[in-house]
Amino acid sequence: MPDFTIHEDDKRIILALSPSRTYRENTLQMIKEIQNTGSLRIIVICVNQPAVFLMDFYGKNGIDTGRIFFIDAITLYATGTAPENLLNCKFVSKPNDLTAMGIAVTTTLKKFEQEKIVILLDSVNAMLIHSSSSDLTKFIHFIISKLRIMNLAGILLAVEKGLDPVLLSQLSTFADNMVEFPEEKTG
Amino acid sequence: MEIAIPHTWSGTPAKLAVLAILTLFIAILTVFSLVNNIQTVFTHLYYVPIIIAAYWFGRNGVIYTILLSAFYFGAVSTLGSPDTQAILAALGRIVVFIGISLFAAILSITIQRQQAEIVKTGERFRGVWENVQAGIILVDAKTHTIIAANPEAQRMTGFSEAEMTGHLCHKFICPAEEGKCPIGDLGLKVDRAERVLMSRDGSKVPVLKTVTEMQVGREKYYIENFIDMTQLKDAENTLLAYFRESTLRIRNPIELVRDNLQELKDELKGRDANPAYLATSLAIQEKNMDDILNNLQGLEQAVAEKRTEIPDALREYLKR
Repeated sequence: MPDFTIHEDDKRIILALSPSRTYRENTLQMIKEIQNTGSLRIIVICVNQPAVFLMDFYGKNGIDTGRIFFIDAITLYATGTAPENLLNCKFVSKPNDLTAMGIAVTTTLKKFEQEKIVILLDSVNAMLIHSSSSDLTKFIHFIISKLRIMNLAGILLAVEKGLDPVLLSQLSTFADNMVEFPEEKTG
Repeated sequence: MEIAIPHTWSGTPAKLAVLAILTLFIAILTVFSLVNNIQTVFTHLYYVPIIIAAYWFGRNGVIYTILLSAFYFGAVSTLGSPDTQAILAALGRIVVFIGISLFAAILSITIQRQQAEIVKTGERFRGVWENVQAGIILVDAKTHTIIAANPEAQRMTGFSEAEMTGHLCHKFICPAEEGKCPIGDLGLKVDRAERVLMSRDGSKVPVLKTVTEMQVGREKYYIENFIDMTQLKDAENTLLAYFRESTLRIRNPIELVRDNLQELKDELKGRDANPAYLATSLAIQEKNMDDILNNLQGLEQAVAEKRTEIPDALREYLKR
């Protein structure tokens, strides 16, 4: 596992690249590391997996889901309905509605403005199913600009070898660090 | 100081006028000389209109000489008291007049044909130079200064020929530094090589360039010719962008769906997956596949709308 320590006053934007086979485990490990190093609230923008199942999966693996807030862009789109009694989650109707996603991010950041926050975008690859590369770049630029203004940290998750060099170079320009997970499984 | 002869002075009427004056002068002189029993000397002046007429009018000049000779023979026969020797001398002179006239006429016709050929070749060359769809710049190999540029080169660079002439080609139309000319200094060959041409607005025009050497007398020149590849490069970039977007929005997402389905399969093997989770996960993957198909359709439609060269049937099929 590469060094992934994020402190409470961290303002870095990290581009994390993981092999597809170990993507879930690496995400889990990353969230654990973040929770171990302080009382940061994690806002997960999920485009590939529904928030309910991620919550369940994280909970089963020893993560404090009370300190995680989800912006779920896939559940409503895929199933047409969303669980009503989920407090730590905001649903966006479509993953390609980047304006709605932007608004959801803004309102969520406002909601937790008293706390130290880190945003986790899961994942860049899944977003490319629903948005063009240029729209995605604009959206990521918007999120990062917001984080920079608010002095917050952010993590862009992507599957290694799932991004072309042009997009990778654009994302690297936006990010402060690029972390690459090794091929073997992390523990 | 150069004296310019007005065109009206050098046309056929002017030539005819000159010839008429000379003929009149010769006629008066002939009559005057023969009346005064002078048989020689004045005849030398006949050569002037004879040569001029043959040079200017070719075959008609020879006819003029025959007529002038007839006048001369008539004058010799009727004026004064000609003897047989004088008649024979006059006939001899007439033969020389006509011979010189013929020689001058043939020479004049040959020169005129050569001149016409040169003019025709010049016009053909100018036509090619002005209409060829390739930029051509002539550069002095010794000084690297531009000597000439055709209209296509002017269009591509944005400079007029007058602006280019006398300029060093380095840093003007060629990005190479002075003293690092690929041909003259580095000894390289440029044969249908992809290069850039610098234009007036500072942009670099992609070109397919060939440079050949030309020797005229002792002078050596470089003929730089280049074809504008902007459209080709644009098409290449469009194709690359299409491939890039196809990979990003079709191939990589399919890989992601495949990985997601693999995870689902693993969970089913473990028999710990709940039905709601499976139904939602499958619904997500179904939506993902729908979106991937939409992406593919979007790319196909973009191709169908932007590429005009594809057949209509294929266009309709792609836009379906």
